[in-house]
Amino acid sequence: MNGRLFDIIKRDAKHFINNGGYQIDIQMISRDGSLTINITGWAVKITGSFDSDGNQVNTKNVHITVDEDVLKSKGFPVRTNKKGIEEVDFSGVKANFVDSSGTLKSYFVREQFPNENLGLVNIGLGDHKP
Amino acid sequence: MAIITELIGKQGFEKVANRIAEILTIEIANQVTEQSFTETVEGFLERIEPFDKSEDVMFSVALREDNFDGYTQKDSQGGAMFFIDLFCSGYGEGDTPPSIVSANKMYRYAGLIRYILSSGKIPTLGFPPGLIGGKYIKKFMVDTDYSNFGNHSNYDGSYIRFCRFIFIVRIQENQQLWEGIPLHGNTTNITYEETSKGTQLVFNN
Repeated sequence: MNGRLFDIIKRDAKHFINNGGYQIDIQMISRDGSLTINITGWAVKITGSFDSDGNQVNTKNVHITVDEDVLKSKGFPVRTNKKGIEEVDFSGVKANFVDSSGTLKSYFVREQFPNENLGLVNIGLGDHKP
Repeated sequence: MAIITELIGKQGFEKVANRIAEILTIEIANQVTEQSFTETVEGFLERIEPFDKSEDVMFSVALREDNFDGYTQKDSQGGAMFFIDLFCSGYGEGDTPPSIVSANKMYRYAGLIRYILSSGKIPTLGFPPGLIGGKYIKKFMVDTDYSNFGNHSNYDGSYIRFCRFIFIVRIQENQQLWEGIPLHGNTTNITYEETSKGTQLVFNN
């Protein structure tokens, strides 16, 4: 049985991601293009990152954070089994959200960083032209 | 105004990079089927996205450099170096530790890549004679500090292993010569001594 505090933390984390007031509308398209869902989550699009020496580098840094349970409730495929063990896998998935220009921009999933305690997934994105 | 008016097509190094990836994809898939291997193998060309823990076996073909010699105005021979990067992930299986599972997987697919690209059955990588002057697996290197290029796979619960092949291909690269300007009236008034004969120069452009 999970600890009570853990369950509260999990509930709060999901709340902040899904509808805590910081959320942004995000559209996700499955890798085969057959399913498009609309959800909310965190979306970040900034310029800048750091190299291995700690120096700032001029990079486009786009990522979203979404709730695995929300995706699953909409029938969106979250995990694949390529190696005999199921893993969170969004390779080939596209994600769209509106940036400061007011334009719906499209992105291609580059990599994913799932938190499999909380059930949240941070997804790194790259530019995509639909 | 552009001086080069002909359409410049795909160069040899580009064709060869594509072909290496095609050959490996087809031949490895065939071996997986014929030998009933259970791994999911995916092939890529110049993949930038990092290998992910959800993946099983992945290779990516990348052009590292093209080192030319044998120069003339119309051609040169490139020594194109390709990196073929192989990544595998692993997990413990029964009593077999995950290190062994991922190492075995890497050895298996490294062996396939070495064999396929060295095979005398594809001396020109399937191209007609003239483009490829030879192909050689120079070496492959295994990530024995288990750093996975800074990703610290020794701390990685997915047991990701990495090795890199150095594959050299001699590739002929051509370019059109300048179209010569015809010389007209190339006759001479100079005659051989004590004759009325001279020599007419005819240019074969």
